[in-house]
Amino acid sequence: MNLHIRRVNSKSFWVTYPSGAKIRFSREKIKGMYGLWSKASNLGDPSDKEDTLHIQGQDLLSRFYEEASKTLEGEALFHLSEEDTLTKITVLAYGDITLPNGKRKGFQDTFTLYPSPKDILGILSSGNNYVAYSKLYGDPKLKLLKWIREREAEGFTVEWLSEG
Amino acid sequence: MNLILYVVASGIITLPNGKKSPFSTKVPVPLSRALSDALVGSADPINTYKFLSGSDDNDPLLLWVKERTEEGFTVEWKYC
Repeated sequence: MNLHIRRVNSKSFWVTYPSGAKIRFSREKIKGMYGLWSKASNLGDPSDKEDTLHIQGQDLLSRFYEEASKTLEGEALFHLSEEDTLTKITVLAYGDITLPNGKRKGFQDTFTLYPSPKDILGILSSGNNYVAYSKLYGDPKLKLLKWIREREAEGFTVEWLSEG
Repeated sequence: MNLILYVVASGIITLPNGKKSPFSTKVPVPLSRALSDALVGSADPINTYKFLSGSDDNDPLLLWVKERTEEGFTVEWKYC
């Protein structure tokens, strides 16, 4: 996995994720995370103008994401390219509807997103985690959560069907 | 030339919370242009489809249409 880091000025950095999401971090806030990064990558000083970071290992990656979600800055650009769609998240809503002929019938509907990278899916077991995730990797309008709330308001039971 | 024609079933369902909501579902049907045009303009699309395609009552598409019709939906053959 590569994270591309580019210095914007002496106080902040742009970090480009594999998904294509670009997020700006302040130097102060990046400092704590950078300890993890540099340990994993043997990367030099964070004030280097530009470098590519290699992170290996699920545990370290999880910690990184956890920290990153806490230190996210307001300015961020998001997009999700099709090339990066490594896996998918499917949410299932189900319940009984009444058909036009008056009979009841079990009905279900699914909502699927194809996020990236798949490594982060371990944290996607709840809506709150999805909010943190989406700030990093896309879905800035939280359309998945909007869909879930709409289905719940309609009386359906909603489950996170898959996490990768 | 093959086109995708859709068979659309629509109607009002009652949601689990008791409210009524418009609902539609559709199945894509790859057909020749000639057959598609005949179906879209036909007053009897099922028999037109059976006649022109040589299908029988066990055709999965016709079974789908039959089930939706029995459920009270309005079924249309149209380009989407």
